Amino acid sequence: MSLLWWIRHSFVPHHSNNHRARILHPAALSLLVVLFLICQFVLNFYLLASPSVLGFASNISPERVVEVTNQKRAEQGLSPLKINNKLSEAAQRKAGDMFAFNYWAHSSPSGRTPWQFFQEVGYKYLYAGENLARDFMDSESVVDAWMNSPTHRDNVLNPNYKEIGLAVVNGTLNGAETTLVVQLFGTPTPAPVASRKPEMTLAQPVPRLGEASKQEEVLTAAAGESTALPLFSPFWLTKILAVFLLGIILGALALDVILVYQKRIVRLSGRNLAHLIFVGALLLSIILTTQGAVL
Amino acid sequence: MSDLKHYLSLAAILSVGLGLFLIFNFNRQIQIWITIILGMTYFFWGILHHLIKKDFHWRILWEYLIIAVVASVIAVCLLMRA
Repeated sequence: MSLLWWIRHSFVPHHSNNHRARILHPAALSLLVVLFLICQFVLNFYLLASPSVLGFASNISPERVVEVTNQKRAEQGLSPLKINNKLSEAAQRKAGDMFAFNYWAHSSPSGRTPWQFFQEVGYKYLYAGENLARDFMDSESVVDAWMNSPTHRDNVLNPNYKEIGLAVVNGTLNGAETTLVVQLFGTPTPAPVASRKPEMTLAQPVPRLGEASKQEEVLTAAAGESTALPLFSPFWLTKILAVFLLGIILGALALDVILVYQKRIVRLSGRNLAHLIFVGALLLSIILTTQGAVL
Repeated sequence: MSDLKHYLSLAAILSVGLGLFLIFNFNRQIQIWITIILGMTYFFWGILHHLIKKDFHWRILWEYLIIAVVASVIAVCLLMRA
């Protein structure tokens, strides 16, 4: 059996494959998805073993995030937020806590809320808020993502806030190299005794990621600081593999549609045109998927 | 003609799904659910389509299930990495 025969058998409807490309047979498609999942497991294993080879690197500066945040506020006629060192320290502690206890949420698995970090650094507030982001490539993308989410946007454009604290921290979350951005907002209490109840605002909580608790070293990425670049990003490796696999399936389906129509092949099967539309839509969603998440 | 209506309904469902996918960009949990729902919707669309055309067979059910699962699993894996 030559290579040419194998290619025709795999991709062209022919009597050898019962007039349907072998790759479109359920058994072959099942094998493809199993191989894809095995690749994901291998990638996860390799991430734990060699984080310097497979990882994520970003160029986010805390000062730039604050600058862009204030630009967005200025566009709405709001006053700029002043950097408060206590708030930045609280943000730093929150990021460190997320890496130390391996979670991605506003509240820790043990129930620790963001407001406890405010209290730890001695920041007494009238209003407080928290925005989180992870795995973005640059400062502008982080703020843009927050602005595209109504709850985060409300925090960025809240006229009650007067001060801001920012932390950009690199570490390992769920076994993957991650850059966390913690943005804390606050308005300090004006009087020694405040009769008003403090207001606290979070973006809508989502279920936490990760299960195991793992202590990791926390690094602060200061502006302009260069971090070691990993050779490959797991996200991009997965994206390339996903586009490749769905592209092959899409190509085989398109060829099948043409040849079955030309040769007037009659067979019992699903609608190839429908498969084409569905796989094409999912391929488009994969292409549109960008790295980074907000919370 | 009825085939065209079926395909248009499928295209409309997928367009709405893709629109929601873009609206909820950066919200991975919702995007994962949108992808899973699109996969399930496609599977049921296939069954319904063949039942209406009166050419339904268990092999066809299996084919739609596999296509839906393969595409959805690959897309969800990527979203979990993003």
